[in-house]
Amino acid sequence: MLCQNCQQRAANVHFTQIKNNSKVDIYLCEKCAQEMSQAEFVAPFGFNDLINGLFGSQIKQEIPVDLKCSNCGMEYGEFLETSRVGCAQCYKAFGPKLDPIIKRLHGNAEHRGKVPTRVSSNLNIPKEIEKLKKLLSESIQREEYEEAAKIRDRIRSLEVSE
Amino acid sequence: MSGLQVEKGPEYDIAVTSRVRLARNFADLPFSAKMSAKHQDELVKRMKEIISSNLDYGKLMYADITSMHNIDRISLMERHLISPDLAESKGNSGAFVNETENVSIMVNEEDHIRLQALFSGVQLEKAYKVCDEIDTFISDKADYAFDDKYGYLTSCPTNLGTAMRASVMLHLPALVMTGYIKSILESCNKVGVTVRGIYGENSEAVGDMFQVSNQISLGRNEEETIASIDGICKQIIDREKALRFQLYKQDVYRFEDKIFRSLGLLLNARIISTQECFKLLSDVRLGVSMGIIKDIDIGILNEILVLSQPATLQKIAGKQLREDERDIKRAEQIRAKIQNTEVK
Repeated sequence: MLCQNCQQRAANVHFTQIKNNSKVDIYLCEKCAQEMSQAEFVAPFGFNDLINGLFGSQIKQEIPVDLKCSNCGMEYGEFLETSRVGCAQCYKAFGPKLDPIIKRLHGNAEHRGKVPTRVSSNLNIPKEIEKLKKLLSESIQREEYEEAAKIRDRIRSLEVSE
Repeated sequence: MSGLQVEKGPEYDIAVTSRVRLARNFADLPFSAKMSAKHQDELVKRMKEIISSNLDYGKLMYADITSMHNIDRISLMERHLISPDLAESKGNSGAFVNETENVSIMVNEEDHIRLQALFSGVQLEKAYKVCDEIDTFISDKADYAFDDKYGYLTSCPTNLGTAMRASVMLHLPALVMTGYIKSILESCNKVGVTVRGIYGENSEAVGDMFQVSNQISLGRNEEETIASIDGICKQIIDREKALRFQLYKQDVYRFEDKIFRSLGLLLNARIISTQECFKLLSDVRLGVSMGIIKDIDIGILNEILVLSQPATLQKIAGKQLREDERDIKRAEQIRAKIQNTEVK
């Protein structure tokens, strides 16, 4: 059998292609097959999981990244596979890659709400105090004195630990 | 039995339970993906020390999942006290559960700890208050992994921020019958609220039970999140109630017939599968809620919802049962439960 493409060399490669739900068999010589495989027969790339896709889209677009968390040893690629970080420091270590993902998940948002009483070292205390002082004056304006007292105590405890 | 089956919260006939869950990790330990057996042991030890010093929730008992039989694990899951992941956990993990079975603190789950409180009816605020108190208690004793921009740091970035999931389980037969549930699912999605069917595969909800919960945890504080879920649930409940009476008025006999047939089956059947049980329970629940069926308490139906699940049934039987044996045992248990309340 001759190659269906060049009609010159003997066909020794058999391709089966599914196109519009029907099966097409193509017989080609090695040379033509090589040329066609680069042009046409590119395997489709699919993600089945939304989250996976969200994280994974970076693999496709960019050269493999070699970010690694020096604290727990997790590599960024490992995170992409499982979508679980290895420790608290991973968020800093993977920051450049992870920040845009978090934006896509939660919108352009910063944490609002409860803050643990014993804040861990990575909390920016001066910034927190500033934020609380703003809240304090707001609650005084609204005459919510009970709330204001709570905020005042919180500011004091932060100032002590600073 | 579980506390939620005794207590009755606002709208308890439609809102089966309200649940708040907080995910927390300690700053000094690696997260679950990188934890060694030694880390896991240390975390369990630390939590035991912290909880044993807590007098307010002193009745919290530690259930060691590691040493537990498979049926007991799944039964805890069926009673909503532990997550499916924890039930399958191979490492050193467990949960502190209180006496009334409405508070649990899971240890070595996807996050170091996941604490949750469960109440009957629409009571997210109350559930949060309990979680908040326990959380504050724990955070006084050890440093949490926290970042001022991302809030509480969690294993999975989807839970960052408050790391809180607030959810209400709703029984919505009229919305399902009329097909309006679809538009509710869609409009909720637009405002960052997830509604999904439970007790069923994929989107199909067996027994017309749905879970409404927040999608986003970063950028909204706890009170705002709870207020939005609360508000949405109340709207859905109002819609459901209006539709129920519309359907009833349309064809009283057909409506009552459906409900009493289902009650008849629950009372008389000798073999009932889980799926059939949930369908029948849904009809009967609707009947009780609308006052068509009297003398049956919603609490009994909640109990049946839990005990008719495979592992809990086997726990009651005290032995492993094949599927066909379970279907017989289930029918037996349901009859006993309902007949105790003397239906006329």
